[in-house]
Amino acid sequence: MKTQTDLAHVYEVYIRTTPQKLWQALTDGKTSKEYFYGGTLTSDWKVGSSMDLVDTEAGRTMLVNKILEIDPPRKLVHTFSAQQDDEHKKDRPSRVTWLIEPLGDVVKLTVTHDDFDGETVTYHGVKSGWGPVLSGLKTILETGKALNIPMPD
Amino acid sequence: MDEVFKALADATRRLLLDRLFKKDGQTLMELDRGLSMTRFGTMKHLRILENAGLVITRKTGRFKRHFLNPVPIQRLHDRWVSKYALPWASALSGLKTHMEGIE
Repeated sequence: MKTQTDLAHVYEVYIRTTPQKLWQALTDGKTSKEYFYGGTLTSDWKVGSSMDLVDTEAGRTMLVNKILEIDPPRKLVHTFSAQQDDEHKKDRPSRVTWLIEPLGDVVKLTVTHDDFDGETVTYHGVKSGWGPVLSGLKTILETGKALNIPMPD
Repeated sequence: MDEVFKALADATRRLLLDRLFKKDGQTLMELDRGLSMTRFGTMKHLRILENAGLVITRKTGRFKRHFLNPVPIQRLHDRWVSKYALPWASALSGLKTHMEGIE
């Protein structure tokens, strides 16, 4: 499978927390509801398992993901398939890598979204999507309060 | 956050961010195209954006690629814009959460 190295998005955020607490927030469906567009991340957190994001109130699956690599509390790699419409569903799954590095009393979180099948709908669509999620994750970890930012179209 | 405001207080740097939003992962050569300044000037602007956390660089082969990191702008939005100009949708969603919390 050919991967075009420039077809990627890279995000960084520094969070005043510990890798363990960040990992907990990342892998706990109850917490994901507070920062991931109200979605609940559900998984048994094993390689090969699904890790879908579901709006449990609306009974709607937002993301269909599969875990490729998991190394708590340091690294999580999963496939990513947005489900909001047929155009997104048509794209083959891309890949998201979460990297957690402690730096003194903060944690550096790097999220790389790559392995897109060209400049797909998903490639352009996620551009406005990750900012609120990562900022929300920072806020919830640093203040314990959620932001409630609506999902972009 | 001062660094982010300073980095954004320049038309060329805002243009560079817009170019990266349109096409992420560009090289200096691509970003420099059509700008009325020397490559050194563009490099300087990119370094300021990088120091403010708005641009992330990755070396792939012999190319250094630039990626837009929107998180600092999102933080700025969450802290400043949403406070003074909260859109109705989020205001109502916040009200909903609040009311449901009371029940």
